[in-house]
Amino acid sequence: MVGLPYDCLSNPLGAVRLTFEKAVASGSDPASFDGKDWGASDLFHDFLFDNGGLSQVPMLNPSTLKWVQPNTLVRFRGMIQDMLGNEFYVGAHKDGDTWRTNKFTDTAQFPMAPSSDMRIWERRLLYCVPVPGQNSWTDFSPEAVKNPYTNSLSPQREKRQREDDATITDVDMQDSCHELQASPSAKKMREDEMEFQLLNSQKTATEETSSNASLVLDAERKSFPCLVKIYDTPETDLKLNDVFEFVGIFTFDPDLTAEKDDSDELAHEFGEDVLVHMPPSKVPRLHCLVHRKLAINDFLSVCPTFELKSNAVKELREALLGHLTAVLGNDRVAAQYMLLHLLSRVHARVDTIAVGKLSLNLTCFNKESTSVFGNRLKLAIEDLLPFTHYLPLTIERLNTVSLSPKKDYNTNRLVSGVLQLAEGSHLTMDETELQAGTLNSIGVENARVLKSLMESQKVEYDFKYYKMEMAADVQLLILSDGKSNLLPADLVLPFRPSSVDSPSAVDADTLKTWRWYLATMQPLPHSIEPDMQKVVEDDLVAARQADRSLGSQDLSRWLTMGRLLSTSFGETSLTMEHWQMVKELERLRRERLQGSM
Amino acid sequence: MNDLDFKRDKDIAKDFLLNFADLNGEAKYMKVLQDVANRSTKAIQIELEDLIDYKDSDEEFLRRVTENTRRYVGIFANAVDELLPEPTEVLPDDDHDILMTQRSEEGTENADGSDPRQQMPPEIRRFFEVYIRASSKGRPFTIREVKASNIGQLVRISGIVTRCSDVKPLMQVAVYTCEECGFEIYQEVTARVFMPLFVCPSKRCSTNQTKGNLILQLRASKFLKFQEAKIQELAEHVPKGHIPRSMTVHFRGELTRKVAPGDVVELSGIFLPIPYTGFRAMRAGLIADTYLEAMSINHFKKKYEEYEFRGDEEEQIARLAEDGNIYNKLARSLAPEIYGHEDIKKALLLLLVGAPHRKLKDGMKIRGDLHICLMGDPGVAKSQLLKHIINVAPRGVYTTGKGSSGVGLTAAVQKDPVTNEMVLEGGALVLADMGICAIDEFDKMDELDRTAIHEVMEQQTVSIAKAGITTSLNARTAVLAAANPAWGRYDLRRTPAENINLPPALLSRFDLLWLILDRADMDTDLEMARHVVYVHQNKESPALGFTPLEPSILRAYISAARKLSPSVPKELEEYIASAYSSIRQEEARSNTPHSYTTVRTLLSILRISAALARLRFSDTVAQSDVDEALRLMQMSKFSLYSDDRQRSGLDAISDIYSILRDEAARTNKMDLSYAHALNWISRKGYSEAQLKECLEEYAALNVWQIHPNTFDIRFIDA
Repeated sequence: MVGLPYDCLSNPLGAVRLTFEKAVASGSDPASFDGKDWGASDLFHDFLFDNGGLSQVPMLNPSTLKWVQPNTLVRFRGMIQDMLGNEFYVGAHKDGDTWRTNKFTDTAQFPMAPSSDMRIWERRLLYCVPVPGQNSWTDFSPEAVKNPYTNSLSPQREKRQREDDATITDVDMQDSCHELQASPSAKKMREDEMEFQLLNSQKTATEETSSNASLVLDAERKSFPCLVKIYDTPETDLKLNDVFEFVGIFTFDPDLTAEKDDSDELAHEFGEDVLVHMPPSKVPRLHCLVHRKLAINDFLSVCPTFELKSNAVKELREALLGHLTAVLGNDRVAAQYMLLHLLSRVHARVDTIAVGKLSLNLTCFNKESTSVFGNRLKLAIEDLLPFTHYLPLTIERLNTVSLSPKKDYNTNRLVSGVLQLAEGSHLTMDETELQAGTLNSIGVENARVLKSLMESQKVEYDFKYYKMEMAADVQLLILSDGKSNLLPADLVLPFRPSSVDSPSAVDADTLKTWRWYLATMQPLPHSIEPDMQKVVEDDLVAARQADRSLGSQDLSRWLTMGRLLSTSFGETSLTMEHWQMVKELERLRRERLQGSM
Repeated sequence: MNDLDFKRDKDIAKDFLLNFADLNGEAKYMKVLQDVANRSTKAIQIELEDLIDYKDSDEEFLRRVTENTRRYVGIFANAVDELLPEPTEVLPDDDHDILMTQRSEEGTENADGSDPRQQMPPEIRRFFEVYIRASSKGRPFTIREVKASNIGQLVRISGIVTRCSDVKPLMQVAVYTCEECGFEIYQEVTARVFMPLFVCPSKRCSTNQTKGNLILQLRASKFLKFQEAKIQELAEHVPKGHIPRSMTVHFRGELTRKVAPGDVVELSGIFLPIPYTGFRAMRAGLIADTYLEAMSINHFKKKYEEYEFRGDEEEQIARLAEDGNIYNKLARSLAPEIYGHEDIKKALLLLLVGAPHRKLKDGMKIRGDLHICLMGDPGVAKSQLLKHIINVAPRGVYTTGKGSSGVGLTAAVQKDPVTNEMVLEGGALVLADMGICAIDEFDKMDELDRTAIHEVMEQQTVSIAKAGITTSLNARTAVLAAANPAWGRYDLRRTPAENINLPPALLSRFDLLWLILDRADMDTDLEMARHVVYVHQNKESPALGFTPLEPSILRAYISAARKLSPSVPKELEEYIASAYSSIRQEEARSNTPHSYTTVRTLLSILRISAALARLRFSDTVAQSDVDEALRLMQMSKFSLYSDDRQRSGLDAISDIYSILRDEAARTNKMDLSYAHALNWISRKGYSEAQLKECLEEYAALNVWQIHPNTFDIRFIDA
């Protein structure tokens, strides 16, 4: 992009304007630009991906928010938590004889005469939050993106920044107050700020009563949502709970700050005004230019350049298995199952069955072993997978927590629940603390939601007038004393630790390779050759003849295990050897089950 | 577009209102206008379809109406103003009329009103509201499909009402009087907020420079009823992985108080931007909020009786009805992903269709709804069958025996938290009135509900006497129950009666009772193994071998069938009676009767036969219907007692022979037609293949001769 009069990074709007003017000059009718791109998106695509501009774009997070300038290019990684519908805006208008565009901004860059010819276009609003349960190692180190403005701060800018600070963070509020006192708008802003704090504290108070503190993990990061405005993308591209990286223009306009005046109430009976519930000081706006879906691999900081050589994979597998065995107190069978469990993923949905899920229920946990192994396991999984959750179940929790997301019609928002999770999340449920007790109606509903998640990997979202099932893809691990009836898992395995020695510490590079291994093996394709298929079918029929209690779920589980076992060796088709391993594993498991009865 | 055009369009509108004739050749709109003049109605609904049909209207005019609807509502109102006939009835004078006569007298008196604000706006004189209704042809928009390009246009959308505001007065014309000159000043209000006038703008005041103070006259001003609501997309319109969208709707005048939260409605209206005023306009920047100005409301019909065919459904039903095999085809299309269970699906289809209710002269009612109970091992897809049926039925409630709310299955008296009054709240069975109530885990039902369900299943009412409220609620519902055997799994060593954990009084109320067992069988095992492997291999279900009908077609067909009320012809009475008596006798002969054949059984036979006749779109029950009904009943019994039969030592072939032998002896004939024989044996639950086998085997023994072409049977006299 040599000779471009605008810097894509610090003046993206200029670039947008330029392409627009170019397009108009080349004879296209601005009226036809509705829902279409006139070349701006291509320009940024080139800049970001072909010219390596992506790494220069600052990541939007609470720390960078302090210095990121409005109307510059930023990126944001998050999960789509809610969709707020579409917004109509004046997309293009005539300023005298020239057309101007307002795409990718909140305010007009040129004054609009009220009678001028204008086109109304639409954009979609997505409410995004950082991926729930994201582990700290997935974060980019702050040094990765340097603050490009630190060196060239002019005094004027400094002042500007301070002003921003006043509205964005409440830390410096005390000092900035003095000098800002004079200006009435700043005062208003401050009042506003107070209000939000009040609102926020109320909100957190209610949150705390409804959910345990451990659930509000990392509250700082969790409460960093972003309102992304999407242009020209087909609706099907972006789905709820998808994890995306959005690159776009960050806008912040203090004029847009919501203020409660009397006219508001009149004009908006239902008080659903986006501005009221999502003040720009809490929820930054991002006008998305380019977006891409993220896979787990994108969250690994450095991708080791391993080849898919079977020997290397085998070694990695053995090392990881050894680690898991150590974590699980020398229980190698449990470690084997755990590895398969960590590799599982919903590959397809056929009728009501989610093919590929493998939930694991480790039984024989009591209070003591949970405190040792439960914690150890939790930490080990957190080190290996990017998004993890830990949910201890108690009667009280079940009766109060809201697991499934619910639509709040007062604010017109989808209130997130614990089970609104991104694809590929891992959820550990600890049932050992569950005592006998009575479930109230919320508890019954929660138990039902959990059961449907276990059985069909679906979560019902409550829209009050109807419920909608949303597909989920969550790895579920249950720790319990006996077999969990509340949460019917695919696999029930009595846990038999033989030592309590803590596993040796693992260095960061090894962890990285293991993460890479899990993330790379998981999406491998899989097939069963025809002659192998015959063997499998015969085995299944024979097994069912021998044991009438086997259902289609059991058969389905064996095939899933076969797939996962092949995958764990980096292979893409089922071999006889691996099929035998599956049967052997299942035999060992059955023996344990009978032994524990 | 300039004013001239609108004048011309007003003439077109006038011409249309004057001359449009409906199917009976009457001037439809002039009649409405007469009603308006007589003040018996207020709303003038102009159907877009009439405009389409109207001979003189060109397409250009139609396009203008749909794309600039709000303007044309005004044009039509102006046209109505000019056309309004004299009232044909004497009207009592109300306040408004007195005000109006006063005004018109004054108006002629001091006609220096070159100032538009002093001229009376037409709205204040009007006693009517004009609505333009979108054409009901074609599919309505979903909220998602309404785009920026639709702004200003007439659209038709469907959705569910989620919130409703109170009805409030909205000022349409503000009327002021001037303290100085005494003139009435009018101000039209088009937005929700307006800037009141303070200084009299009349000529007299302005020339005298008196700056007359204006006083707002609430009584003289015109107000409209106004209600705001939110609608949300229907669940079936939301693409996978998306959140339902919502939209604001404004209702005015006669359209207020027509909807309540939870209603599924189809609205036609004008999609408009909200004009921002004052500070908000500045703050909102470029963003425009939008709303739908409602023009008509249509509630979705949830009952079969009120089902309206959409699109080409009628045609498709006619085509299906011509196809002879409709019974099998429909049955297979129920829950196509559940393999097998053909007879159960047939029974469920009949449950959906039902028989007509009969009301005798003395007020006694005989129910037409079929009740079916599915019993079986865990994991044989009972619950899925139930859920599927609920999806197909236009009105269905799925619940479990335990019930999740305090209301339970029947009804409860509860204290309203706001008013502290006792209110009656209907349970699942009451909510499913005129529909289907699927009750899972029937055996785990509360004892209280179980007693109440006796009444529901036969009398079809729920009686309640609690907290001073004694009443009886209608519960005309077909009960579809699913239950687990007494010990979780069906125990073959115990008798069926022990396995079924329900009292006989309740059981006898079910027309059909099916037992679904998970039997050991090499073929089905292989089938299952293949299915599982296929699913894992190909990530999809194996092809079904037929294309199941869409649930919407199924629903349409059933609703069409339910419109009929077949009767039993005289000549069949004897046939049914003899069939019934033979079942009774059989039961008397056997030393361990499995079931109680009572009059209820006879009614069941009639009900199932009537449902079958409905499926054929026939007004009379045929003998084939009765035979199929008997076969289904026999099959349902066999699903329970098939083990007994094996124990009795009779194999199928010799049993068939004895059936045929008995039949021949009864009729005292040596000939038996094949069709007749097939009838008899299928009634006992045997298949055609078994009959053929039997025929061959005994023909070889020279017991009978078989006609080579027709397979008719002739016994060889011994």
